[in-house]
Amino acid sequence: MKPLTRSIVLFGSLLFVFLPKKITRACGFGIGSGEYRFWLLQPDIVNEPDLTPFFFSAGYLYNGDQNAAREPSDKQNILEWYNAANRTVLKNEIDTILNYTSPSNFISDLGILKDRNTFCKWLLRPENKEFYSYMVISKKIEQIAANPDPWEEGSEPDKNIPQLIQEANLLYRGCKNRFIRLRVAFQLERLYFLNNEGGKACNIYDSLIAPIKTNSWIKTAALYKTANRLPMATKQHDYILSKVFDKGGYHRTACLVKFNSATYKETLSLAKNLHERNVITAMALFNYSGRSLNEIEKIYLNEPKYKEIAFLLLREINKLEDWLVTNKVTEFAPAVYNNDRSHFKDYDAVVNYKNDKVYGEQLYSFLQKIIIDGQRKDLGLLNIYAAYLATLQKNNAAAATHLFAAKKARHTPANVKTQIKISSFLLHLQVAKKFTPRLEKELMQILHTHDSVLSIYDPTIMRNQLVLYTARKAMEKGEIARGILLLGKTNRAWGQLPIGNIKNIYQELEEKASSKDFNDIIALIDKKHKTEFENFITGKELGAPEYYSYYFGENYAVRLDKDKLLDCKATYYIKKDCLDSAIQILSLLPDSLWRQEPYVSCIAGNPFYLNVYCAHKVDAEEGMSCNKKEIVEEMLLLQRKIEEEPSKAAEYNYQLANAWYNMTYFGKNWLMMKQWWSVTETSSYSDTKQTAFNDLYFGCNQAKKYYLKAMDAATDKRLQALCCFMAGKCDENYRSYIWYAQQEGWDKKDFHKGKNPYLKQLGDDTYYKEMVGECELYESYSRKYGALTY
Amino acid sequence: MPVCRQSLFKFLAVLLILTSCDTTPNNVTRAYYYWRSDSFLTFAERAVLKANQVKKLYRKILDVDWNDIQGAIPVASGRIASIDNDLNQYDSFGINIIPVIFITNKTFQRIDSADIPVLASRILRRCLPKLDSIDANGKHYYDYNDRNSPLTEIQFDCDWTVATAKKYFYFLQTVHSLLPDKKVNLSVTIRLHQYKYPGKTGIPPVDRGMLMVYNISNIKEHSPVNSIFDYDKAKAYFSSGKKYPLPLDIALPAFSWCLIFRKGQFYQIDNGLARNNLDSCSFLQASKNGFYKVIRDTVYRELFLRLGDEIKAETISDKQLQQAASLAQTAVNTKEFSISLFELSENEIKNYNHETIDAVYRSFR
Repeated sequence: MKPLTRSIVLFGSLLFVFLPKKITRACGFGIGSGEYRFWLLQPDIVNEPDLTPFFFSAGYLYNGDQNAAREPSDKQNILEWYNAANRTVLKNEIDTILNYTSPSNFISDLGILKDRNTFCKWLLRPENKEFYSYMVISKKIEQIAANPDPWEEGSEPDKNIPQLIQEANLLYRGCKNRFIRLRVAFQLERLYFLNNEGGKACNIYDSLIAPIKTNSWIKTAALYKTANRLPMATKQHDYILSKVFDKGGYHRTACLVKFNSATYKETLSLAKNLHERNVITAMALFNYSGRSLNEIEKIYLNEPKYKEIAFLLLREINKLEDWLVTNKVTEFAPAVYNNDRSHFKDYDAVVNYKNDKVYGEQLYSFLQKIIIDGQRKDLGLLNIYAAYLATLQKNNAAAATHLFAAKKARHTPANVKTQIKISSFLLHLQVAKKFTPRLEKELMQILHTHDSVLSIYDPTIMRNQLVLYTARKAMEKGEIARGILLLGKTNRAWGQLPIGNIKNIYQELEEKASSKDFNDIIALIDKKHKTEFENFITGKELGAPEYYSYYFGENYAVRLDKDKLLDCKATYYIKKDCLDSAIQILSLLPDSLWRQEPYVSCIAGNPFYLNVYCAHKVDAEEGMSCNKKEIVEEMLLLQRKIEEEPSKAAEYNYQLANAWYNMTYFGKNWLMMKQWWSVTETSSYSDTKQTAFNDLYFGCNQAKKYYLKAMDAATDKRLQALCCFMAGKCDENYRSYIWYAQQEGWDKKDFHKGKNPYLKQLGDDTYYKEMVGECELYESYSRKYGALTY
Repeated sequence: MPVCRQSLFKFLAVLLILTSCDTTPNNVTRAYYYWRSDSFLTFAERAVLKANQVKKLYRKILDVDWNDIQGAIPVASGRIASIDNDLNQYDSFGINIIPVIFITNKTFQRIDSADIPVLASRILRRCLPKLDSIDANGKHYYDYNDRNSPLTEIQFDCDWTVATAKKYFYFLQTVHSLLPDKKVNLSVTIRLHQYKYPGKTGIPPVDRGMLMVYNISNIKEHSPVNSIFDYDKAKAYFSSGKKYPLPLDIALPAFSWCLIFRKGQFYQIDNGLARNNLDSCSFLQASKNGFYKVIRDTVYRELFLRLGDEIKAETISDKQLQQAASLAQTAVNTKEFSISLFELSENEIKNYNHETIDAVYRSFR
């Protein structure tokens, strides 16, 4: 396999295992409703920031930054030059020249640079002539290496290389400074490689670089380059890579990517000692997406203090997490061994899950053993792992013990301490039956810890994840009001609407909140002496989903607004047909609210008039236009009129029925009951379920109830026919919605063609037939009976 | 004098006057410059070409600069194929796309004359991938196999000076000699100073010149004068009355840019920043002569602006465009030529309505 292909395969397999859960369910922003998970032990917890694939594999948690991993040789190089210049220059100015000055600019702008840059000035001192000469040569090589064939004519190697080799040789021979000689030798090696003279390059390494005793990154880099000469996927090639990987400080990620795991056992034959065997095995395991515990155990047995054991164990935990947890909290399919989905059955998922649980127990036992052995310094980290695995096994007591031990451990880096705090909080959250003030306090302590103390890759991501996870848990524990308010504070998307939008707090309230929850929220907002947590969740600023803020900036600014909350509460009562309660709340709201979007566009016209053939349209002839409050007022008035004027009960019931119909999915005032509308909601693409609200909204059952009342009360045959027709229409809507909700099968496609079940009740169907046959007649009836007469 | 002889004399005089002036209209080809590196035209850009019946599109395909290590190398490149496809196939709009190669004057200052033939071949390969055996990568950039219209012209853009004229002209001659199809015209851009002093700067050995009636003054000067076009300054270049000894096409300014000055010194140029963008920026304060002062440190559109920086917004009004056109009319020296506007970009075309652009093209007939 070619290196590129292998890299792609490696990355692909890692992605498969670790891909952050941003799953597209439909068009629009690529975020699925299941997109939340927090309990991930991020790769940076092991403090090996140069192993890119593992950072990339959890890309979301690293801000999508594929370069999240750092190449330590850059810093090391600056430090070595800083020391070479006797610490008389500024490090950032060394950085400018080494890493941010193009070869061309270095040569052409030297005159300007020397006045601005202390390092450049130092290079130009007569006594530093050799340093300067070296820098010129290295810049020239940098240019050629970066752009070996600028005209893309297959004209490599560059014709300037022999001249440069000559210059470098001259400098090497005339120079006594070890710092420069090592670097010039390295550049000579590079030049020979660029000139397709691998043999000479390796000779340079063997004769001029290998014998030098130094800790400089240059020596490792030079060794790495010698691997280039050898064919890929050979044991000699991989053996050199293992040496570079073990030495550290240069291209460790590239070593892993280029390493051929499939033949690592052959590479083992070149190992001179147990340590080298461990390194080669570890490299193979890093690339392996299956279970690796047996091999890790062997490495531990050979060399208990081997530094990569911590990372390898973390990899196993991350794998387990994906096998056991990910598909439960996301929309990922269950783990399938060998990526064989063609033979995958539900049964396999159950078996896999069971086996993975057992594997988790084995891993936990091994961790316990290492901890008890006490041979490693990273006991804090290992105890976090153990706590995590114990939690997966629902052994919360053991998890608590491990976390306590982690706290007590010595030499714990700051980011590991942060993880201990987070893990402890999550454990407390897990164990608690209720979302208590103590948990709130603990959460706030983490959220308010200064970034520098947290010392993690991106504290903002962690905070948003933590808030999202905690909010969900609080809601699970029955704290809907606090949970929803907390949810509003994360910038993570917690759900997507079929219209492509990401859910906001008001839509969450619409779905989850009861009247008590609304009362609790409003009481919280009005509370005078709030706790820190309460202040946090009742702050006006809400977290805009990250994709929204990226695309729309501040234009998408949903804020916590009491009027909007009251409106949601009023909607809650409307949906429950508690119009009296609804009007009490709506009376508290300013009329100006109804003149704003979306109200002004989506609640208009005469609510009691309905032309079912174009029910979303507001006709200019409707004669009146009501806002939300006015609609409820008028509906209440109509209810009273029914009692007061029984002779007109039929007409009033018909008008009330129209008002309810207009508030359904099919009517012009749908915003009275729901905050969004989509054409796909009543199609096979929707995942509409049967609920009491959906019976009302899609099934039009409330409207039907009033049409039937009107039909009963009517003496006017035309009105009777109209009510019968509309009751039938409601019934048809109901059957259609139920069919989609239950997904009964495509063989029942003709569900909507059933006869109007209320025709029997109607008796004489002369007017009915005329009305159904002639649209104009229907419209004239609609206009006549839809006009308020009181 | 008898009356009949008088009449005959008058008739002959009128005839002489009439025959001495050629009243046949000029054959003007409408053209535009497309200078960006990306390889697609927006809907609005395509619409402008169509509405104005533009028949030639000068498309920059290569920037060549001098690199102290590797010599003359391409630093940016654009492709023709997708634009050609969009216009000629998708829009069914016959337009001739002319490749333009920008070469810095520094390249000719530094290049060894002996290396000029190599440079000429390399550049020509990008225009004609089948030029020689080394064509595989060139084809990638400029695929004439898929081209919808034959190549009729190649244009070079270089602000050559007296010092570099010899090498530049040698380069042009070499390109010409390498052209397998002699029907392909070579043209070069002619700056105003080159137009005014052909005796000093020389006359390039090509088929045609494209007179650029803009870039009147040095953009690095902190001055109230509009460096793109200033009528009084431009007029001076057209005062000699002599015709340039090379058939000329005309390029007129229809663009804007912002010049950024730091501590009174030129700092940066931004082509994408328009004056109306600046008016709405809270971190800017308008001052005299199109200058804006930065009143607080900020990062705007990837520009790092510091308190005290000055931004000079330079645009070309309808009037200035018409002035440039009227001056350029005096430079026309053939009956068939192209009038090209610089440049085709959504940001710029919205500054001119159809009538203005149409009138400018028509004014040359």
